[in-house]
Amino acid sequence: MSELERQQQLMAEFVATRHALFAFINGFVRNPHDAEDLFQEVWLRFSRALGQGTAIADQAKWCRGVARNLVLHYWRDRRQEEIPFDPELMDLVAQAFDEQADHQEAWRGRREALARCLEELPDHSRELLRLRYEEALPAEGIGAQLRQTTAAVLMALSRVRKALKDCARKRLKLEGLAP
Amino acid sequence: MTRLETLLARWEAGELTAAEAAELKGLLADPAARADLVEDWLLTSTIHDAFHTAAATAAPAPAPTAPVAKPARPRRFRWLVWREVRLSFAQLGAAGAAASLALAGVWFYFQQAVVATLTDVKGAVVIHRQGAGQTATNGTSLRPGDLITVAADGSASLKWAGEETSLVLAPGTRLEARSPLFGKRFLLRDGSLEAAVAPQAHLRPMILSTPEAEARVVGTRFSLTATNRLSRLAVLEGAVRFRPTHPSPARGAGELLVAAGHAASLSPDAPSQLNWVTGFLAQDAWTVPAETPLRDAPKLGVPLTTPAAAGSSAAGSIVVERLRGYLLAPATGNYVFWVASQGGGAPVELWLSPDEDPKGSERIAYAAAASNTPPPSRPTSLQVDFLRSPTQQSTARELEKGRRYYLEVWHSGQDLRTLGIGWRPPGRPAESQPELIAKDALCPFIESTAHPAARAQTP
Repeated sequence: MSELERQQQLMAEFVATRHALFAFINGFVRNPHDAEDLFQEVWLRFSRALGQGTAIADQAKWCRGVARNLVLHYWRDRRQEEIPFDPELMDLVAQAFDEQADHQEAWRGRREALARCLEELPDHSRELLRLRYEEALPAEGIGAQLRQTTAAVLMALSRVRKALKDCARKRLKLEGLAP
Repeated sequence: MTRLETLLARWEAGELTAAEAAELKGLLADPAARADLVEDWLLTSTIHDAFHTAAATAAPAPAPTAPVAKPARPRRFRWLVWREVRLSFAQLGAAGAAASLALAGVWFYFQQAVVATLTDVKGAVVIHRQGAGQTATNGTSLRPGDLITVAADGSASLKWAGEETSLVLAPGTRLEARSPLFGKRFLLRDGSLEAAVAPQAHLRPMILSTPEAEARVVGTRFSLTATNRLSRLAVLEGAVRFRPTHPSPARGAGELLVAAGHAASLSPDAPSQLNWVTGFLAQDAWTVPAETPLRDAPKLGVPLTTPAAAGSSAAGSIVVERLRGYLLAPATGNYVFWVASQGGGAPVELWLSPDEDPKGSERIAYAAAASNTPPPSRPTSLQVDFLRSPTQQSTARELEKGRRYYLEVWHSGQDLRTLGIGWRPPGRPAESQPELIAKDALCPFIESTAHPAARAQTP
């Protein structure tokens, strides 16, 4: 295998698992803009490691390890003593992602199903999701825009998320991709 | 809603307490709960992706119409509004007015902020600001929303104070400056630019967009070209995330992670492609005592930072230049190579390896120094004469299409900018004249993509 082929293969693996890596970072950071930048930093370090000939046996796990450290730095920089950054909890989350590493195909199917379910959502639900996950507004800010209480926003978000998960499961079942 | 879902929702909202975190840890001891967590987090990123793609596809706004700041952390927002601040309506009104003024100030600041400064302005370079055009000169400040138009005979650079970042705009380029609120952002409408980007502040990357693609940069050196429906990126250092602004079925997901030494093309009509950077070889030069063997220059010489300045060598010393990289074979078959320097008086050597490893390199063609340079042996359309001496021609080398072969050219002399490497690729008649090697068959040596043995022998 030539150098280009080797690098392309590793890059292809990175691209194939990038959604899981982004989900991992975003879950901790809870701000997609910052998560995007941390994700980019992981990619940069990964490509540098490749360039330096570092042996990387498990690309996804290696990247998650880097991401974990970056997330810790991210919160340390902000001097936030937030409970979710309990190292034990981080390890459990990392373990959860490790356990799913062999199910990339299934997760890809689920992502595609979710994307289609998203398109079918009514406008007001889409707007709610857009404000929360694209604009990264907190529930209070969304409530102010939509003239709803924070509790109502949180409840509505929870319902829409559940509806999306149910819709994706149904789709996968109909397509014979899930039991 | 299950207890796990409730706790994940509270985590996502930034409201998880210590007791709840402990409870969550207990629940996550169960593998099924861990799988549910992954599903939950993937759902969040899928939603973000869907909206992010939609936002990227939408027509870009010329400038923010309202101050768009990074959202405050949920906890801080709640603390400010609900826990501590209990105000009357009048106080709330005053606080609201003050906040509006502050936000307007932020908006005004970013509208007036200097994005970059123009330098090295040559030829006609015009800045279009709020509908009016003004001729740019060295030192002109660029503001958000400005459109720079570089005429076909012009060029210009953008520089930033306090950092080694520059964008060099090629003739015929149109570049639009975007709001600097989240970093350095530009839209390359047409033309091409070369960028050298110093490491950027952690969460303020440089983002260069074209009508077709977006390149997100942390710290790197690259060139970006936008032509009709095609964007091409060539990365020399660092890495760039390159993705289409308009996803299309023809190219699938289309996102590429382009590392140093690689080039990528994005077009709506074809799958995205990743290739080697081609078109030139990497240059190094040293001053060495006269009579030093060419290949000993890295060990015995003093490096020259700019090979172009090589002519000013001290008395008793000479300048040696090395060009190195790879030959990217365009077809399988037998190749014959030639090497020559302009005038034929300077020594020049061509080395080629049977693979990417420089260890196996051997000298395949050379021309020795000649004090009395005879006239060219025959007229040639090239600036160099490949046919002065039989040693300038190699024997036939069998190469395989798509593979890279490590290559070095060494020479010394006064005019280091002119030397020729010729070839006769497969399929040409045996008696045909040598041609200069096609540019797209030459890849520069870039340390991060080099064979480990080549990295070890650097410089």
